[in-house]
Amino acid sequence: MKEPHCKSLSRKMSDYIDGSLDPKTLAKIKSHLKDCRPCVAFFKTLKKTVGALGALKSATTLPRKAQGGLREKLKSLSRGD
Amino acid sequence: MTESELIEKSKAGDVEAFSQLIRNYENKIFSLAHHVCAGMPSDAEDVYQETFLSAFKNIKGFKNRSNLGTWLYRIAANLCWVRFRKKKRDPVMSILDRNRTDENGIQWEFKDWFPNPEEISRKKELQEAVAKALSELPSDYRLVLTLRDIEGLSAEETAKILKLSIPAVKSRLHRGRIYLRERFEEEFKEKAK
Repeated sequence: MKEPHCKSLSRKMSDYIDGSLDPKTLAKIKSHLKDCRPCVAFFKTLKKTVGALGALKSATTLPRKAQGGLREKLKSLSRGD
Repeated sequence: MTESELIEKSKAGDVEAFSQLIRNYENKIFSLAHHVCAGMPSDAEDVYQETFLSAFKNIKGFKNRSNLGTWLYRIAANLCWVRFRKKKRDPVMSILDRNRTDENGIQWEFKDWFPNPEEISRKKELQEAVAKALSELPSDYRLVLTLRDIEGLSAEETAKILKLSIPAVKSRLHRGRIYLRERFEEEFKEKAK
């Protein structure tokens, strides 16, 4: 990154998004984001990346055929087939 | 019937009780398999079925004080991992080395080029881009990203399922997210101009 400070803080951005930073680092990042536009853009796009992944959860549907197939296999397993 | 009663009946070989027991976990396990086996729908269905067949066969060994969800996720994660290793189709680690944040620095961008996920017209395009980028990662990274960012599990739960340390989970999660962010940058920056 442009400055060593930005570079080291960028490694903490995931923890910042997840809310798992210690208070000291959290204060450092918050203060840095007030006047570093590239880091703000980096943070925003990383956060949206995480949001886009989260949106995939609702996009998945278990196929009925696979579910039916499992029930058949379980029955056959319990019969000792 | 409570979950522990269903577990006891399942241990005695009761298929109906087992079917009832897994109802709350089927979508979760299929979702994990679907995202980790990205682009290979038949593999996802196989992992889903094999997970529960293996769970039924081995439920006698399940300790009631353990978390059933964690146990099932662990079986599914192992099956995904074995499948990728066996077929030798796991992307290599070097894919992550193109990550420009490590030594050379990322290119500075002042603009937020990311499309708004709420934009209906681009929603499908975005989902396809996410799934494609995810499939380019090694399965170890895909498992962490799926459990943490798609399934919404904590770092602690993810570490327990994958038998990793919490720092290892956090490191893979961050590297994986950075990789995806850079892929999306390539994908969407031009369109955002």
